Amino acid sequence: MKTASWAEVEEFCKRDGWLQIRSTDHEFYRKVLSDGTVLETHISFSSNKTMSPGRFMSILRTQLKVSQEDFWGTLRTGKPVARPSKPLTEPQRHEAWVIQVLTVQLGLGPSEIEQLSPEQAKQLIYDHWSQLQQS
Amino acid sequence: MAPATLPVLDFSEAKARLSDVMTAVTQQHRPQLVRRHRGKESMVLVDARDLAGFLTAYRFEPTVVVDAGEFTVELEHLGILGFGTTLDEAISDLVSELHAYTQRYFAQPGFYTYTDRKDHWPWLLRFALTEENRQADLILADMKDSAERRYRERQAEQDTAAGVPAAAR
Repeated sequence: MKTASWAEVEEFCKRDGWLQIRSTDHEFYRKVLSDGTVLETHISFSSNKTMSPGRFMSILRTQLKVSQEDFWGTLRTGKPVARPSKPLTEPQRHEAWVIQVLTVQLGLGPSEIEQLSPEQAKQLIYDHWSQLQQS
Repeated sequence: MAPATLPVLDFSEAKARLSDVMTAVTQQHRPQLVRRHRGKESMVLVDARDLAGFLTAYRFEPTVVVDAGEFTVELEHLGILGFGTTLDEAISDLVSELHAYTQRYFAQPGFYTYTDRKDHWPWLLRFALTEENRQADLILADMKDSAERRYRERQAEQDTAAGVPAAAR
């Protein structure tokens, strides 16, 4: 999967007609859609390094509300996205408490967690808890 | 006009007795309704800690995407993301983003409360009523609470499956 750099996310915002707003000491981009929906995003890093597919999908889905296809289309053509965008891809996400237990109680690292589906991750925790009860 | 089930004061009287009113609200935990323009406008004064306690139902339940060594923490319904190479780092970034969003939300209520973000108000007020150096703890406590709740549910499921009577659990 082709992923973006922070510089490309910022360029997308500019081409898609987002307003750059400086509020107190925080700079962010905002776009108000025709139905009144407010979208906001903060360009966390000014980098040409690409981000992981999971992070890219999370930004597309949670903040930009745009499909990968429309994201790259706007960067290519310079034309704003016609929303609603095409169906957005759902990244594999876990409830935060699951990740907390996996890292703190089971000592798993990111590379091990990445291999687990949400169901597998929870089952691992349930097995751990069962062992604790038995011991 | 708001109903007068609560203690009511007209604005001028409340202003004249503000010290007594604040004592009653903060020390006796008595909500105080204040009205002006013959009740066309009203506000409720509530102890800040009481209010924070009443808002605990508005829990922060983040989700996490882990990919290629990157942690991305999401509060999807608030449109907030935090980034890091560890969970702690990503949560710290999330808190910083949430802090900035809360500041601009309450600085521009005339904008946000007329948009689809109107319902963010109680979550952000709960966050704002938490001392700045405790805001990360607030998120972590909600996560811990979710884990403990799931642990209890899991135990109950296992007990039920094993035929343990409810009274013996």
